[in-house]
Amino acid sequence: MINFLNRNIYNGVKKYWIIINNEIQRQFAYRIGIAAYSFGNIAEVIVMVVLWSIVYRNIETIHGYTAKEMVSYLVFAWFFSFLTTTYAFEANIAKDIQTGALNNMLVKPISYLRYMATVATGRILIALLIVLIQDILIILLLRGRLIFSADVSKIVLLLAMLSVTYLFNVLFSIGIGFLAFWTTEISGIYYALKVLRNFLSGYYFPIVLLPVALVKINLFFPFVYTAYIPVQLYLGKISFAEGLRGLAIEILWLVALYVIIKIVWRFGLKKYESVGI
Amino acid sequence: MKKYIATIKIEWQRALTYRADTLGFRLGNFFEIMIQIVIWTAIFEKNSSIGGYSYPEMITYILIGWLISLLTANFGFEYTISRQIQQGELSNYTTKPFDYIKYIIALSIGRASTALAAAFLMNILLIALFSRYIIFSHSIFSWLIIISMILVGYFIKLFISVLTGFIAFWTIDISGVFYSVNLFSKFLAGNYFPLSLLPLIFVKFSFALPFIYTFYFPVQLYLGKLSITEGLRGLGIEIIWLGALYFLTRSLWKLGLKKYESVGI
Repeated sequence: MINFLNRNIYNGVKKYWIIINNEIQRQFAYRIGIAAYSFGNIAEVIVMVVLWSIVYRNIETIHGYTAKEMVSYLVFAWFFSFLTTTYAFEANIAKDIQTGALNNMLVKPISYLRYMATVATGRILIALLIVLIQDILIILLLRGRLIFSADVSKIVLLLAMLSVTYLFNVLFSIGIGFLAFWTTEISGIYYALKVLRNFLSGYYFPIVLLPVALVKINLFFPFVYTAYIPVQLYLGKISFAEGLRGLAIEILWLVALYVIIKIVWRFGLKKYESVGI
Repeated sequence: MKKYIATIKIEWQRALTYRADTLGFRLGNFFEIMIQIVIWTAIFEKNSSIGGYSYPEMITYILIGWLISLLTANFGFEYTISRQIQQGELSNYTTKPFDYIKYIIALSIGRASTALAAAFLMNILLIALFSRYIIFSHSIFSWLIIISMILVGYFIKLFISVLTGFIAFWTIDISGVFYSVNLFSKFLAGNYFPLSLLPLIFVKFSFALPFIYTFYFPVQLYLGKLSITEGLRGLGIEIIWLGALYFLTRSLWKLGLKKYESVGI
């Protein structure tokens, strides 16, 4: 009986494992692709730290953030966002649609959405490992300028938030990629949505730097929960309870996004099939 | 010559057709500018001068700098090149009596002219919004040099984009390379903040590279922080870079084409 259950679960999970394994192998074959992000990754944080150190030379606080708090905010926002990025996965989706490779995917015994989400995950696993090691080294290098927190329950909540953020990012990427169902020129729209998302998520600066009204509106959108809220939790600027509330809202948005993607997929597929490739 | 003009006209039609794409770039630029303005406004709340810049000078740096940057931009041309290579569209042009390099220059001019018009309008709007803080320059010589720099700067950025796009001849996962190249180009151009905030050695080093002439250098000239003589010297270095990049583009094109044809499409 147990053997039977085990075998079914095993068979169910096996196909996902194969997909992930394939992606990992592909990463070893095409090493340059994601490695090139490392340069930008390190450069971004160094430029940020240098700039803000210069800015804070003669000032104590900016909007309630001391130099240490501001640098910590930016470094950890940077760290969290590289842990949860999909490395322009929307380009993969767009390519499948534009080149017609989607046809092959539709006949597989797995939904395209699940398949691509798994491919995305396999694709980033190696990069995640490298980024983790690289970024931790840099954080240790900068430890004099940063605030550290080792509160276990906070870290656990943080990990939960980042996991949800990752899933949100994957769905978001897929959604942007689906634009390829309707147009071939997507780079402009990618760019706008990316900058908007980074802006609203508090990646470039703590959201509180904005006028109060804008901050309030932003809290209704999902992006703020992908960077700003986790970092605020880490820095202790919001309580654990508020953090839990943030996680709950993030999960709600994740579900909403999933529903939206499913709907867009249905419409997009109709368009795709009507073109008759 | 006629076929290249036709190329430009087709691009105008395409830009009008793919309005969302053009609008996307405009919105993205708008948000990027607003992000910088928000950050610097917050920084200047309690300070009157940072790195030798007053608040009006900083706002002018951001808005005039971005205007110059947008006038020299090609809006993701590396994606166009890489797509042509990866999806085999390149074959269309190598089998026809087209000089590919001349073709892409015409293509980018066509693409850029419509985007330029939209970007110019957006930037003028922002300047009008912040007119209380902007410094207006009255030096005609500065303007002349700046306009020349913009012209040369457009082609420099174009060739850099093309060279970046050529990576597609040799690898598949290109977004990482594009991301890093864009980041470095913008940083070295002074897109993120005035390079004078950094140590002097670094600034001198950037003067030797082409990027700085599409943002930081012209704006410094505009703000009167560089003399006309220095401005002319900068223009000279820029023109040398133009020649070098053109030569590099032609050479890499030959190498890349060999690889492309050997794959047998």
